[in-house]
Amino acid sequence: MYQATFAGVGRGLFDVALTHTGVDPLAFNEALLLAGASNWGQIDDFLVLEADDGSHAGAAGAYLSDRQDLRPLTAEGFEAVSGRLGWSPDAARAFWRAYVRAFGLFGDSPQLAQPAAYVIEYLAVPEALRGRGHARLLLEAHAERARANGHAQIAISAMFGNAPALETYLRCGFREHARLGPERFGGAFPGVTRLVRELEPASGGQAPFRLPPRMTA
Amino acid sequence: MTLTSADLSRFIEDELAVDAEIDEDTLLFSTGLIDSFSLVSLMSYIEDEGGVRIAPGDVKLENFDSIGRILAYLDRVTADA
Repeated sequence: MYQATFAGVGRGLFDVALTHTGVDPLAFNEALLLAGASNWGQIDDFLVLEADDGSHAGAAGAYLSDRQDLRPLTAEGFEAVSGRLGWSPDAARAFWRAYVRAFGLFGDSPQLAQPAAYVIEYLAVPEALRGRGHARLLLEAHAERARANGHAQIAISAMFGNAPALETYLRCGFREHARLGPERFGGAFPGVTRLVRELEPASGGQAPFRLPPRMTA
Repeated sequence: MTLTSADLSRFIEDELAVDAEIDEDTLLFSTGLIDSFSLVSLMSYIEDEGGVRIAPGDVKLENFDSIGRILAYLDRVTADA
C-alpha cells in the first residue's frame, strides 16, 4: 500500500500530512486498514500474490467509486484512525489540515472522479520482483473479480512520474481517460493519469465465479 | 470576533478572484463555482476570525456550500460551546 504511491514519486500518499505527527507512514497505513478506514480498499479488497516460498510478491486493492466521498480517507475514517493512534487534538488537526490540502475539503471534487465504478488502487510489486508479469496477474485477478460482480469496466490511476506503471497498464488493456496535473490538486500532489479498461463479458452458461478475498499464485 | 457575510464574501473574492456575484445563498462548491482544493484556507480563516474549532466531520457541503450555511454553522457551533 505504501510502496504503491512511493514508486516513481518518492513519497507515500500520506507522508506530507504525517510530517508533524511523528507517526511512521507504515504504521499509519496499518492503522488505516485495521480501523476499517481505508476508503480506497479495505483489507478484504486486497488481492495478494505469494511466491512459491510464501513470500509476498505483490498486492493490489480495489474499491467502488459509487460513493459520495472519494478521498482515500473520509472525515469519519479519520476520527477512527486518529483515535486508534492516540493522536492529540493538535496532532490530529495538523494532519487533517495538510491532508485536505492534497485531497480537498469535500470528497466529491471532480479531481477525484473515476471513469469506472470498480477502481483498482494501491497496486505494488516488490522492487526486486518487477518485470516478471506480477502486475498483470494482479490486474487480471481484479478484472475477474470485477466481472464476477457484474462490472463492465475497471479503472486505475498512474501517478505522474511513475512511467513503468503507466506503461504496464496500457499493455494490460487500459486506455487513457484523463490526465490531471498537479495544479488540479493545489500543487500538493504530483498529478495522475486516469485509465479505464473495458471487460470482456463472462462466458455464458457458467456460474459466476467469485474470487476469495485473498488470492494466492 | 463575529464573522459577517461581508467578511466571508470579501475573503472568498480576494482569495480566488471570483468574477461572479456572491450572495449568502450562492452555492459555492457544489455548483463548481469554487474548487474545494483551492479554498482550503477558508477553514483557517473561519477558525481564526470566527474563534471556533471546526471538526473534520463538520466539513460538509450542508455546512459550507454557501455563505449563509457557513454563518448558520458558526451560530450552531458557538451556541453549543
